[in-house]
Order: sequence, then C-alpha cells, then structure tokens
Amino acid sequence: MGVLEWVKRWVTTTNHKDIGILYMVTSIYFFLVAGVLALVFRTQLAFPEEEILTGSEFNQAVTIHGLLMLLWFMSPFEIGLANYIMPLQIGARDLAFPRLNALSYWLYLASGLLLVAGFFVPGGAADMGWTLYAPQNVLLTGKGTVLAAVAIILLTASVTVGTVNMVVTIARMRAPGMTWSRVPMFTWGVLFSVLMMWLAFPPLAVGAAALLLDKLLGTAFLTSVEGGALLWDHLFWFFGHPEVYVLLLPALGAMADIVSVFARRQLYARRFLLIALFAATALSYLVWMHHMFITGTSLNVRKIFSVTTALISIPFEMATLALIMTLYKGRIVYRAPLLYTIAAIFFFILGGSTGVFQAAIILDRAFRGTYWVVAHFRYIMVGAVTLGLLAALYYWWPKITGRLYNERLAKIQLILLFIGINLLYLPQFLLIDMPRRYYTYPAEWKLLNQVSTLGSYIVGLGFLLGAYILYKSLRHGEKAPPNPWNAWGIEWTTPSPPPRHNYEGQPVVRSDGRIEYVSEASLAGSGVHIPDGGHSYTFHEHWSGNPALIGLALFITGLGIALSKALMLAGLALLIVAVARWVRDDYYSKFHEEEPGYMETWPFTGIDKNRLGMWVFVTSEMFLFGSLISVALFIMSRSLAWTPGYIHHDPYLGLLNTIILFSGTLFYSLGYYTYKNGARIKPLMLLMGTFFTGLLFLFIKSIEWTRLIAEGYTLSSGLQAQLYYVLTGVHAAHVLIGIIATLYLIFKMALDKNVSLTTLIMLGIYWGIVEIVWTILFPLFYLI
Amino acid sequence: MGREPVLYVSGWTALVVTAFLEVFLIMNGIVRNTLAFTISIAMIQSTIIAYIYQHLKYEESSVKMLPLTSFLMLLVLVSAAITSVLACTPYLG
Ligand code: HEM
Ligand SMILES: [Cu+2]
Repeated sequence: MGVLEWVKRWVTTTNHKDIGILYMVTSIYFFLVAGVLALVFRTQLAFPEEEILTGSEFNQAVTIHGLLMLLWFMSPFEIGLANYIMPLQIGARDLAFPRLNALSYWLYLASGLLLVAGFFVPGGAADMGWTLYAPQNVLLTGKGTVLAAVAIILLTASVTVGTVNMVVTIARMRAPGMTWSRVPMFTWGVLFSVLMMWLAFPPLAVGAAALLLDKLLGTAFLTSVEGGALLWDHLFWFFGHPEVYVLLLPALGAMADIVSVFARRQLYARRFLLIALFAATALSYLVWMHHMFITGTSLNVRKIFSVTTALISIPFEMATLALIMTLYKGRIVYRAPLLYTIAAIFFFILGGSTGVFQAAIILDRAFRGTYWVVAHFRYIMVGAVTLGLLAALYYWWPKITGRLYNERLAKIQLILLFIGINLLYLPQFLLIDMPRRYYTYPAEWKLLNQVSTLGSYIVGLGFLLGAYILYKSLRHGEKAPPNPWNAWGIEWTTPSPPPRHNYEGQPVVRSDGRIEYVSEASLAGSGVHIPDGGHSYTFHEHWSGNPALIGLALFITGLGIALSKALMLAGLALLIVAVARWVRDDYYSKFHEEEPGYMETWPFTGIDKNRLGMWVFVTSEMFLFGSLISVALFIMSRSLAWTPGYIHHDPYLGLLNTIILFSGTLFYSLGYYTYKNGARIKPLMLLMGTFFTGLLFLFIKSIEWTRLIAEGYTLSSGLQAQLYYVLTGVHAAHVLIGIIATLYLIFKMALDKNVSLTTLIMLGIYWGIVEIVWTILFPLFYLI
Repeated sequence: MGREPVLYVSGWTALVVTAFLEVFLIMNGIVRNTLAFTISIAMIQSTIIAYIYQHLKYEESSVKMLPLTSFLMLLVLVSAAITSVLACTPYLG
C-alpha cells in the first residue's frame, strides 16, 4: 500500500476497530505531551526557589497537563478501547452509527490540537489551573484560554455524539442470547461511563461558551458578582465530579473482567457489584458541591453534599470488596494483566479512602488547595485508573495486534511504576501544608518535593519501558492465538486480530452460556427468535472523508476564533462544504442500513436505532439548554439590579410569536399524520406551513432585536441585555436549523425520495425542543 | 378526522390557551409569584409538547425515562445552585 492510500484508508475509515486504534494512538500522543509537561514542572519543583520556568510558564504547564491527562488522554483512551473491544464483547459488527463514530474521533483530535496550539499563540496557553476558575479565566488570560474554551466545546460535541453511539449500540446490538446478565463488566463500565458523560458535559460546554462570550464579546457572565466564580464553580463541578467516575468506571469494568478470568471463576457478587456501580453513577451527579466546601455558599446546602459525598464511598467499597473476594476464592494465575489489576486495586483503596476524609467540610477546610488533594486524586487517576488501563491494554493487546509481548518485561515495568507512583505521591500526602500550584517554594518543603520528583522520573522510566515492550511486540512479537488467556467471552472466539466484519457468521449465546456461530442465512432455523419484519442482514463497510473534513473545518474555525477573522470565515466556509457533502450522502441513502432484527434489544424493543439515538441526543441537548437557562436563573436570583421591565419587551408581540411557533408544530404533526396515511401532496403543504411559521418567528424576532438595538441595548448594556441576546440568539439559531431541516425534507419528499416515518418523527422531536425551550424563555424575558 | 388529528389540534388549543392565560394573568397583576407561576406553566406546556408532538406518548416507558432523568437532574442542578446562593437573593425573596 502506498503512503497516499494508507493515509486515505485511515482518514476515511468508519470501522469501529480502526477508530478505536485512532483514538488510542491519539490519546497516547496527548499522554506524551502531558507527561513531558509533568516531568518539566516536577523538575522545577525539585529545588526550592527554582526558576527554570517562570511563574506563567509553570502555570501553563500544570493547566494543560491536567486538562490533557483527564480529557484528552484517559477518557479518550477508554473510548478507544471501548470502540475496539465493546462491539466484540457483545457480538456486534460495528457501532450503531459508524460515520458518527468517525465524526466523534475527528472532533476529538481537532479539539486536542486546538488546546495544545495554545502554547504557540501570544500570551501562551491557558494558565489558571485545569479547573479554569472564574474570573481569572476571563480577566488574566490570553488567546490560549480562548482556544481552550473552543476545545472544550468541540470535545463536548465529540463526547455527546459518542455517547449516543455507545448507548444505542449497547442497548440494541447485543448478539442473540447476550442478555444484560451476561454482558461483560467492561461493557457495563463503558455504559455507566457514557451515562455520566451524557448529562455532565452540557453544563461544561455552557460554562466554556460563557467564557468565550466574556472574552470575545465583552459579556460579564463570569466576571460579575451575580455570576462570577460561583456560577463557574457550579457549572464546572456539576461536570467535574461525574467526570472523575467517567474515567474510573471503564477501567474498573476491565479490572473486573480481568480478575474473573485470572482467578478462573465467576465474578463474586456480580449483581451486587452492578447495583453498586449503578448507584455510584446516579450519585455522581449529586455530590459536586464537595468541591465548593470553602465557598460562601449556604452551609445547609453544603451539609447535604457532605452527606451525599460520604454515601458515594459505599458503592466503591462494595466494588473493591467484590474484586478482592473474587481473588480470594480463586485459583489465581499470575499473569501481567492481573498483576496490574491488583496494583490498581491497592492504589484505589488508598486514594478512595482519602476522599472520605475530604467529605467532612471541617477537614476539607484544611485540605483544600493543598498537595493532600493532589495526592488524593493522583492515587486514583494514576494509581488506579492508569494502571487499570494498562492492565486492560495488556489484556487485550494480543487481540488487537495479534501479537504477544514480553511478560517478564511487563512485570518489571509494573515494579518500576509501583515504586515510582508511591514515591511520587506519598510525599504529597505529607505536604499537607504546601499549597498546590505554587511555581516555587521555600526550603522547608525541599526533601518531600525531591522524593516526589525522583518518583516522577521513575514513573517516566516505567512508561518508556512500556513503549519499548509494545514496540518490540509489534515488530517481533510471537503471533497470538485467538484466546491466549484461556478467557471466556465472545471477543476471544474470533481470530486475533479480528477480520473487518469481526466474525464469520453471527455469534449466538446459548442458554447454558456456550457461544456458537450461526450463519445469518440459517438464523431462522437455529432457535433464535426473529420477530416479524426482522431483516436478513449483510454487513457493509462504508468509507467517508466527511467526518475528517468537518474536523478540519472546525479546527480552522477554532484557530480563527482566537487569531483572525479571515481564518474563521475560511473555516466556516469549509464547514458548510463538509456538511453539505455529508447531507448529500444522506440524500442518496448511502449510509442507510437495516437493523438485523434478531439482536437483543430489551428494554428498547419498540424503537429503532435512529429514533433511540435521537432521544439520547435530544435529552443531552435539552440539558444544554437547561444549563443555559439555569445560568439565567442563577444570575437573576443574585441580581440586586434585576429590575422587571428594565428592558421593555412587548409581551403581546412575544405572545404572538409563541403562538406562531406552536402553530408550526401543529402543521408538522398534521403533515406527519397525512404522510403516514399515504397522502403525498397534503404533507408537503403542511410542512411548508411549518417552514413559513419558522420564518415568520425569526422575522418578528429580528424586528424585536432591531428595535432593542435602536434603543441602545447592546451586549455591553448589563447582564439582563446580555442574557436576552445570548439565550434568544441561541434559540433563534436552533429555529433556523429547524427551518433548514424542514426544507430539506420537503425537498426530498417533493422529489419522491424515500423519507421514512422515523425521519419525520425525528423532525418532530427536534421542533419539540425548540418549543419547550421557548416556553421558558418567553415568560422569563417578556413577562417577569 | 381520525383520533390523531383531534389530539394534535386539542394539544395546540391547550398550548395557546395556557399562553393567553399566562399573559393575561400576569399583565393584570393577578399572579403574585410570577417566577413559580411561569415555570409551572412552562412545565405543563413542555409536557404537552413532549407527549404529543415529540410522540413520547407512543414510546415505551424506557424511552420516557430518558427525558425524565434529564429533567430531574436539571431540577437538582438548578435548585442546588440557586439555594446555595439564596442568602444574597433579595429578588426571589
Ligand atoms: C473514585 C475515584 C475518585 C476520583 C477519580 C477522584 C478525583 C478527584 C479529583 C480530581 C479531585 C480534585 C479536583 C481539584 O480540585 O483539582 C478530587 C477532590 C475531592 N474528592 Fe475525589 N476522587 C475519587 C473518589 C472520591 C471519593 C470516594 C470521595 C469521597 C467519599 C472523594 C471526595 C473528594 C472530595 C471531597 C474532593 C474535594 C477536595 C478539595 O478540593 O478540597 N473522592 N477527587
Ligand atoms: Cu468530586
């Protein structure tokens, strides 16, 4: 294969295994960047009063290190692993939406590169710590912060699309017989993880958007007293706390699978473990204010969060216990993946139990902002999660590459890492009086810091050795059999690496747990239930360059937002081209694929994958709007100067527009009804009605805006005007998209292209959000 | 007209009537706590929209769980965020 063909293959692939590899390789690249940054700032911290880095450089290094490690290395590495392994584990041939999967990847790559590009722009990269606290994120920073905000928004888009894909795949594409009670723990971990990303990222994106507006258009969401630090804290930590479990759960799931295989027995108390993890997932949304214990917020509210925080440690204790009990009763085979897992459990116990101390408000007053907190989450992030992921990598490496590796070296690597991590972070627990994020320090903290830096070099050495092990395995490793570990699970029944379509025939899990392969043609006679209308199914592979093109366009746009208008416009132009090409593929039904019909789909049996995907997406989107509205309510509730009628919006004009918008949906729904009953002209007319009411709504909106601007209200006329323009602006943009989508479907129908009922329902779901949002925006601005 | 169109038209009527009512009651100063009132109206209207026009009525309950979860979590976010700063909130009083 020539170089060009090779590039083309990787740029246009939509196969889940390719995308998985792309994700993992890219995340390791970001890991390297972040790791080098860490070594640099640990070197700075090796000596008191050191000045290798200036204060600003140090701040940039720790900020980008933290963001990269959490959001662009750990989580994406897990998504990559999930991409590759999860479909193999459940017996699917790909993810539910392969092209969207590619889009997730390219958005992720674009966002990460934008973040790192910060180092090369005037003023340097974002430098206020990975939590990007307000108001310094607006007031004291340069272009690098703009890039970081754009990067976070793009990453949110990537993650949301990915979440939809994973949820729908796990829900509706399990092989016959792969019931929930048989789903492997890694797949469960991925499911829990994406269920947390689902609602955690929208508030983060809203925070990043507020940051962007404040920096570029001079709004004051994060700099005012009314919004400011507390608003950011809420938005960021509502995301931030679930995010730490987002990172943990796939690793924990993999660890559970590994423990079970190498202890040669079923996971102990598997059902309890699942209940515990589910509880942790739900609770993860209810503890974020433990990151705000020393703010001036209501003590009673903080007390509630102290209790929920103490509660959330229980499921994790249960999980740890389940893993240990499995080992305790097992006939253990000490192979590399298991040893890594045991080390990870050890670190998890240390890191998790220190979290419990911080749950007490009174203790947290002392810990907050010190190296104690740093040590707490490093024990988990590096000790538990990263080692857990290494365990997973060493476990599935032969499956992915088809090669074995040198286990003795892997064990030596573990010893290095184990010693290194403890040397690196134990002293930090003792540095309980040293504030974190100081770029240099007085001599009294010297010894502990030096030990810590020594540890970081040993850790670095460990990873270097890891790179060597993998490189050697790729070049000279022994060929791996399909099942080198004597493990169970569908992924081990197919060759290493698996063929493009994963399996010859469809894997089926029998009631006694045996895995059999059945040819698709003979499925009907094989005891697998095929519901009426179940389609016979052939696997097609599609290639598309459009996801990469969209990623490129958004990368250019993002750079442009920070650096130059011309560049931004060029990026947007390219984006339009890319989206148009995407739609063209749709128009010719290039990616249309029937669902097999015999897969396990409970509890989503009565819906197809597109509609389910739409619902998962829409609920996340509603949460985005909800977060935006909660920004308004938050600011409103703290505004002494929020005077009703301060800006006059004509309530009757608003009412008229409300009714116009409602009428649009009426037209739509009647159009849907007539179309369902076989009419062809009537639905066209009715959808035209939706189209024109949408236009009318925007027209009236523009009258209002012009009037307000003529009266002198701009984005610099205070928070009330800013909120009005931003919220109704975002809403209007959604109306516009709805209008375009409606027009597209009208067009398609008129040209007698096949428009499915599901597509029409999806249009209705979309218009539904637009209206639901308006039901709250209207009174908020026109009536209150 | 079949049953579905009746549903669509009556949903629309309910939406329009509640919108009128909302404006009328507030503009005439009849409602005291406007924020609570408008949020309640918005919730009623949203339910109608989701049920009828987003076809949630016809989906199985597992699908209904998705927007419900999202809504509950939003409630948590909004109420915790606002009550946490209520000490300095003259306006909501
Ligand atoms: C299970 C995996 C866990 C992870 C990945 C994790 C991660 C983190 C991270 C990243 C921070 C610091 C954020 C920052 O300020 O930069 C943190 C702080 C905190 N963690 Fe954990 N944590 C975990 C478990 C726990 C547990 C089990 C508890 C309590 C029962 C807990 C309680 C806390 C508290 C209260 C803080 C705030 C400390 C402060 O900033 O003063 N954590 N955790
Ligand atoms: Cu937390």
